[in-house]
Amino acid sequence: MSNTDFKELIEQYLTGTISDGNKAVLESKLASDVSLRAEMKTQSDMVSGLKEFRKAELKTRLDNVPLEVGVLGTLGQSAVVKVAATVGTAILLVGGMYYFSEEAVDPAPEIGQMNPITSFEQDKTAPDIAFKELPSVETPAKPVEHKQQFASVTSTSSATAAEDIPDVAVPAAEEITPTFEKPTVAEFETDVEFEVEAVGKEDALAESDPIEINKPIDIEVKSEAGNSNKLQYQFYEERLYLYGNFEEIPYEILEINSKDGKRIYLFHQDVYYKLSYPTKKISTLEKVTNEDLLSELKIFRDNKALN
Amino acid sequence: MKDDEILAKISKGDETALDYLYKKYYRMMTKIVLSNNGTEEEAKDVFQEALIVFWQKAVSGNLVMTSKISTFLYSICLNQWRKELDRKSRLSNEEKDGEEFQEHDAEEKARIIQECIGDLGDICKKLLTYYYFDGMSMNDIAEKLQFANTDTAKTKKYKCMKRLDLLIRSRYKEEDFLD
Repeated sequence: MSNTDFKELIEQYLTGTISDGNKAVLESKLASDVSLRAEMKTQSDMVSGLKEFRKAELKTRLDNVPLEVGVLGTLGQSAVVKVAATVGTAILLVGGMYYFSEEAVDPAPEIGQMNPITSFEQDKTAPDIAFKELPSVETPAKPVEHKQQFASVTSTSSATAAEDIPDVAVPAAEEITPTFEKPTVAEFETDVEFEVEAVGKEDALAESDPIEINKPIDIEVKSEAGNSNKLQYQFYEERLYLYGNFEEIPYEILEINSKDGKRIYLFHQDVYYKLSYPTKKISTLEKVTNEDLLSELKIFRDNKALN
Repeated sequence: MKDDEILAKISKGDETALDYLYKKYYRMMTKIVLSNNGTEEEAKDVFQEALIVFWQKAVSGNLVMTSKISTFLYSICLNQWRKELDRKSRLSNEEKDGEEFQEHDAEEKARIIQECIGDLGDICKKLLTYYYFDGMSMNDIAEKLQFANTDTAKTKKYKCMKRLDLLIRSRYKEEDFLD
């Protein structure tokens, strides 16, 4: 067998197309021929390098695939709408802008105990809050196969109307007249204006199979103006309470319902926060630092703005 | 897109099919890792690896699908993550020792090779990676890269390998000298 033949065998060996017989021939030749061994090593290094190069190229390609659909559920992309409906993914975006001047929130028992409000003053003296991205908290998935789950966003007084949801698109801000319970935390005054937006519900339904609508989950959002920059939140009895300086600075709640559970994010002053849901404790808002997730959320918000 | 449409696209080396699958199954597949003590980053990595394995098999024509693509991907992800967990637990049990210099040397060489591949012309890069990684036939490569025929592809492949070899040799020696 000539040298060229052995080179051909090396090629076959590296591409995994060599026959068992030829493999044995090649191996015995390699054992005795130093220069062929060197040739084999060179070729093999190049081939491994090429494989690695291509793999990295493909990974980079995948990294650049916009994932608003995969990560955050499915919204308005007809090719995947059907999938979304079958796996029971629904997304609601809620944008809200709140101003407070007169009333305070429902005092949850924890509020009293943890006293988050009065602590704002003390927090002012505290050093910068170190936000930390916690491992994503998986909320218990509900058995919603082939069912669409909706979350409705209502003001305190608005009734929950499951049957309305598929038709109701965007409740106009004026229609909502929130009435809050008698304040017990006197120093906070509220004057609430709601801007509620629900995006993509119709899209999600458009091509779906007949859907049984589960009882929607009510989320009520209230916020309190605090004197400090510290931002905290709490879920209590399916309501979200925000504590912090949200006064006059618009923020948005991004609420994502999927079969994997509910994920809630908050956008405020160019920062995204992840809210662990449900958490009954008053918690400091966690900044989202995962870059992939951040870009998803940005795309998500932009899409919402376009809609 | 149906599975057979996806496979048809992949067999032509159409990478948009890969994007489609990535988008479509990201949530489903990463869930496997996320719900088994993995981070978002690890989950993404496992899914990407799995998808690339699938791509490699499908594009080279070495795949006989007996199940849905999603089932196939799911099982690769599951296996990959099991292996990774295994590797992790072994790593934590083993003391790392020795061989660091050798490793460093090999890494250095690998880095140089990557650089050299990056410096190849676009056609060479595509031709060689399609051939060695994707496992495409010379015929398919000739078609995809619009060569006159298979023989042209073979000749070009030979020249590209030669060029890469020279690049690596010159640069590896250079680095040796600098060390």
